[in-house]
Amino acid sequence: MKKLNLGSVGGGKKASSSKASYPVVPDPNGNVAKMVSEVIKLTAEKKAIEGGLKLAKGEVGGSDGLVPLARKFFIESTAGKSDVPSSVEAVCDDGSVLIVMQNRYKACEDEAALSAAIGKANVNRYFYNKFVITVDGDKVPEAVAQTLIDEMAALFAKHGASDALSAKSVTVPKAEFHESRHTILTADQNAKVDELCPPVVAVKERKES
Amino acid sequence: MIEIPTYPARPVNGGKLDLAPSKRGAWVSEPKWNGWRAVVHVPTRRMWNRHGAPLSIAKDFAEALETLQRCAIEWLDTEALERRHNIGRGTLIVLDSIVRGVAYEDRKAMAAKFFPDAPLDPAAIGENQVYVSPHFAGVPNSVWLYESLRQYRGFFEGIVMKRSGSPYPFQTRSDGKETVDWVKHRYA
Repeated sequence: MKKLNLGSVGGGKKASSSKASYPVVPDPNGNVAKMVSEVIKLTAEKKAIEGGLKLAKGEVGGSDGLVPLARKFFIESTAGKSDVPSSVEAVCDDGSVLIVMQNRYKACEDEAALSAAIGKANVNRYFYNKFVITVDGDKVPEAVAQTLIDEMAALFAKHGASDALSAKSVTVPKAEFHESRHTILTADQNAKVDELCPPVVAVKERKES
Repeated sequence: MIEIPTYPARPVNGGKLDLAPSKRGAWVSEPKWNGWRAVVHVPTRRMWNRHGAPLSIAKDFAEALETLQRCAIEWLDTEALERRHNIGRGTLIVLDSIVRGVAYEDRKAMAAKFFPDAPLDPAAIGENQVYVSPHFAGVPNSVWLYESLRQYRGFFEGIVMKRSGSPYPFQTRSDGKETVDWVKHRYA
């Protein structure tokens, strides 16, 4: 299988942490406190339920849980058949769930082990080296952005791979807008911006330190 | 160059124990220590964090790493104490022995041959020591452990439940990949 060298393409994230005090949302009639209480209670229940669901479902390759059980049944019952169902069903008195065998796979970490398991010929026939290159437009100097895009398009066209390039252009605030908006715009203007370009707002429980 | 054989096992977040659905099968509970997760290569005294990055704090655990030399296990999954709460400075808690194909209880027994169980009272935790994280079988004990450690909240974050008999979940795919054989139940 032909390998591509993506060596110089990559990046990392910087970690940050801070402890700060924040202005508190006014609560003249106690409604904020009720909603906060509800968020905290439901968040705790959600975490517990999500964890319980993960355990009940299990994981591919695991020994316990619905998924490994269903996967084992699916593989054994479809062996040698060409007409294979997309799902299997598991039932209980209250209803049933479908375990959908999607045509989606995580990347194989160990090609040698895969070759040993199914043979190199099968690996070469049914597996390939998939890659996605992402260009972070925010990190391309504005002055050269258009030239770079044009040259990249030309390069892909030259190799008959124009369809491999996809691009999306949207209008988003520059990094400095987030801080500056409160001094350069009125509250009304900022409310309008919120309608037109909704900010991402997360609600999360504040942990005790 | 040495590479870690696996990311340290990452438990599923099971939320608060009293809100969690009941689990099927046999489970064992351990304290969830509030420290820094560290994979240790015993012969070279080198340490890695939970993201698989080399740790530069090994010098702060020199005595404990020296103590580890008496054990015959090459790779250990540990919690490094002191940096968050100033208790047990330089102490390593052995959470697990990183060996393939050995059941949980047998891996714990491997480490217990060399090191004592950690006390559950933070005041009894010594500095520059090596302890094994104690484990307790059965659901009633998980509730007992969870509630008993609550008074030391800050030193303990809750409990981690591990499926009885399960192998160590070796994987180098992602530091974020969880194993359904381990579940953490925190107080918050």
